[in-house]
Amino acid sequence: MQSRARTVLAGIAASAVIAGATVTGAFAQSPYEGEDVTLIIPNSPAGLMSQYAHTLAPHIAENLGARNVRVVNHQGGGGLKGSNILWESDPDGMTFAMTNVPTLLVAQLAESPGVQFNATDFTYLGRVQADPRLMFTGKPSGLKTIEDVRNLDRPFVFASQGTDEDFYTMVVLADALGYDLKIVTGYEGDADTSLAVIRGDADGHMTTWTQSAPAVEAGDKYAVLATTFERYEGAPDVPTALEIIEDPKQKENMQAISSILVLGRGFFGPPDMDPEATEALRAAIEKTLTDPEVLKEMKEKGLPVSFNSADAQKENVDRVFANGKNLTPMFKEAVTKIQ
Amino acid sequence: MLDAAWAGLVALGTPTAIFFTVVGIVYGIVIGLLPGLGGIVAMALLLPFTWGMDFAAAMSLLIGAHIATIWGSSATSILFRVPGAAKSVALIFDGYPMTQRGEASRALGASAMAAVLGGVYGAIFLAISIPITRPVMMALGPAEYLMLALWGLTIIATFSEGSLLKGMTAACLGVLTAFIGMDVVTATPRFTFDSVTLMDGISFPVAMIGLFAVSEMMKLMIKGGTLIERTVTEENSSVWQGVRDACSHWGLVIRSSLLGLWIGVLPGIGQSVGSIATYAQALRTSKHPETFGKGNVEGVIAPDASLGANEGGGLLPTLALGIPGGEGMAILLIAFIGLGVVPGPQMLTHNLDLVYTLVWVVAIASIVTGIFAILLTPILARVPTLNPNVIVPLVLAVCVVGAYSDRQEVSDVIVAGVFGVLGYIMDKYRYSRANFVIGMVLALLIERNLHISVSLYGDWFIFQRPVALGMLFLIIFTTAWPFYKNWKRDKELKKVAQAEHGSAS
Amino acid sequence: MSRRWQENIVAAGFLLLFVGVLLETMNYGPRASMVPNIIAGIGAALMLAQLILQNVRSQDSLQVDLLELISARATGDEEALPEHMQQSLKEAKAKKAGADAEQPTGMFRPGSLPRELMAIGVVCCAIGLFFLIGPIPTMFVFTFSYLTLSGHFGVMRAFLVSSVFTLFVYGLFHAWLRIDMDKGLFDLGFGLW
Repeated sequence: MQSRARTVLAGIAASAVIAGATVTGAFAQSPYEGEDVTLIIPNSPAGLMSQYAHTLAPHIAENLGARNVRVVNHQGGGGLKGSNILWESDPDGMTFAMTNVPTLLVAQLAESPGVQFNATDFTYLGRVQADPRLMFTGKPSGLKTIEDVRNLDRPFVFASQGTDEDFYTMVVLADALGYDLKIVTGYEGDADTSLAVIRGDADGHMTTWTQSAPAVEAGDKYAVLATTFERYEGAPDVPTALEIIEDPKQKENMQAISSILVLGRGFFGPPDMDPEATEALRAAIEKTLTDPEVLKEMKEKGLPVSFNSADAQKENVDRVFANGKNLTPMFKEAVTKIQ
Repeated sequence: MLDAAWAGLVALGTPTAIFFTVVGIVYGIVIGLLPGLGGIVAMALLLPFTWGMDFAAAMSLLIGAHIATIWGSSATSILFRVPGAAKSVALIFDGYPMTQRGEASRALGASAMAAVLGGVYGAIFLAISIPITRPVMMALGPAEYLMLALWGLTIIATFSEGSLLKGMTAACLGVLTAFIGMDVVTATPRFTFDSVTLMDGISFPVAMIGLFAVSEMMKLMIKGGTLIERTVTEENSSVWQGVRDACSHWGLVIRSSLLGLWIGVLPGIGQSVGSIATYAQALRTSKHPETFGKGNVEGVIAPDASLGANEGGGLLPTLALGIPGGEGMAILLIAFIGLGVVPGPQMLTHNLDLVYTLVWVVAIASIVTGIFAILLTPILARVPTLNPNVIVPLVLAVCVVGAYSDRQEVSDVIVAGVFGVLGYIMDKYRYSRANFVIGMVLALLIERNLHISVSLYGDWFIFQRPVALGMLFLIIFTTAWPFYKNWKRDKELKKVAQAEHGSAS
Repeated sequence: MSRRWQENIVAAGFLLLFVGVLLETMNYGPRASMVPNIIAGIGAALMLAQLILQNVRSQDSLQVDLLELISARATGDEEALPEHMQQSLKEAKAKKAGADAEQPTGMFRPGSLPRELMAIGVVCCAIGLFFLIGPIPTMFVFTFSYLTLSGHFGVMRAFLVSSVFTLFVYGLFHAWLRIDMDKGLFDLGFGLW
């Protein structure tokens, strides 16, 4: 009798231990359990980035098992301020950020004042979305294809908002495809550059497909070139730059630019972030951004998602900076020209 | 076009929009009544509230408030001889004598009705000219925008009340303030002294909160006492008398509205010029000019009609060209951008329904303001007697929170304080703050378009762009013309001054 | 300090500001400094002219026109007018007002410099509180203190007014507009650096 009771007790004790171990083991695996996490948005609280953040934050919190993911805005310097703050943040995994990553990369490559971070050292956590950018020309320019642009006997007049990704992309494109470029800066946004192109003041500019689609349909603009790795499915007749460029060195530069642009809106954390936290966060983000329910909700709110993994992000960033030494002098020269 | 007009009206039918129209108007009347705080302050303080609102609601709030402050400012001019804002100065000449004669309600009623009619005429004009502006927009390029912006700047300087030198200096200060930050044309941080925050420049709403609200609170603290002191005579008129007066003088209202409209369309001139010019016009065309200055209701109707119409007129360049038609419009522009609406030609093609929303807002807000004004007249006499000790802490506290909320930037609170002190100094020593604001708003417009024009057309671009060249001649002409007009105006006002001097002593 | 000297100091201050801008723009490229240089140059010239005119020509020193005169009379703010006009206005007022013409005296009379410094101090207080305790507590503490210290309301009434007002603003800004009200604490860089 005693031995049987002992067996039963042992059995109960063992089950309890195993059950306990399973439960605490699960908890022990998630460093986020019951924690408050901060998501830094280096952009305006009224802007699109914040809308993405506010919509995704609760889902990420749920998938992390965290108590809360709190969105905090630190706008300033075109995204630099918040990114600098993240750079200095504690790498315990309780703070991460989301913004337009290309902005940070080009700022660093061009050695812009105000950059206090090194983008290669950020801990990448996953991409939310990337809107492919294409080059458009205006009807008055008479340039309907990229070949027309290359055969131009005068400089191509490019309308630019300032030294953003489009500016630097054009610099690389002109260098790679062999046409003279005249950049006119000072325009106040895509609408402004659009008007200039439609009026004929400038030959072309860069926007997303969605932004220029109405004008293309109306015959006011033509799509001539895509900056993506592959042809954009919305405009299958438009060639990519990489198809056309032959010189291997130029091709590398263009690949670097395409890598920059493909990073789009993404999540990232401070350098040397806690490995356990990193893994958990990446998993939670991936789960959120591939969840059909979440995707449906985002689509309804006009916030498209095209997830790409953290590894892919890191790969792109590394590719960019491998070519950094080529790009930096080109960028700096372009900035000198507009002085 | 009719579709857009209807859509524009429907957008205002939501409970939110209606609610905010009323809120904006009540708020605007209150701000207008508090001397020193005018439309621009009201709007600057409301600006942070509009982030996150939909377009119709935000516009109802802002434009409603602005229109309401016009009447509020007129009211204090009439009741206490203290202009609620610079533009209401003309209401003192005949409005206060009417109060002294016990006809305050009549004056207020006439003021309200005239503003309503003027506002509606302004809205109609705005609606009519929208389709006409479309082809014009395509013809205007950076060189022409530059000329328009320059014209706005020179006109301000020309019409500086008081010292011309000081007025122009104030505009220069405003222009330089706008240059603080990252220069988009050359990617150079200017006047930032290594601060990442300053790279984004000085925020307009924050500067306005400091320049107008904080400085006026400082003024109240410094001047102390109460705001009015006079003896009250028996009230023996009614609001409805005034309303009837405004309706019966329909010719005067139309003339004054048109004048106010055109002055409103010309960017940068501001409403104070309109009301003075209209008053002088009314005096000239009246059958009994000798009664002006002694309490002739026409002297109240004319300036208020022009102030009402100014609103619609001012929206036209603001919407069509992105150039503010007046200081209040500058705030509206900022609100547009915050709401994701970029004014300019594309607004007239893609966002026509939004434009019509604005037209409707002006018309409806004018009417609703009139209704409130008529209801509030009996109570209004008491407000400016509020002790400054209550007004000052409440407004200052809201300034601090409001300044911070604009960009959620703690340094903005300091900026507001600095501009508060600056505003006080500028006001005390007669450097026009209105010029500062318009300089600040037009600065980047001027610089960017200048650089773009030079880039596109070369250093002598002005000769390659005939429209711009024509505008340049217009600028030179209109800059010189007012000097002649000033001389004429001084003659007129000498008459008025003598009349006033006679009636006061 | 006479009005004239105050005006001189202000004009000189602005002049220095414009000169400072001209010096600073020497660090920038040609296009970046072009328009600021033009404006600062014009501003400096204007202030120089103003300083000269103010001190050399006594009668028309401030280039006041009649509109100013009427507005000044209407607003009761005659300080800005040239001396001779101020004088005749004073006389007119004295005749009219009679016994009421007594001007309050003392250091803290309205419009005096100590009072101006006090006003600046109050503004600094409000701002300083913001950095120490954050926006919402500042609202309450500042309004409560001001209302009580100025003797205008009793403690209970001041408390009531301040609370209601603070709650209203909190509801509006934080709850409804989702604006983060936690910042501003102990930020010694004042948010600039």
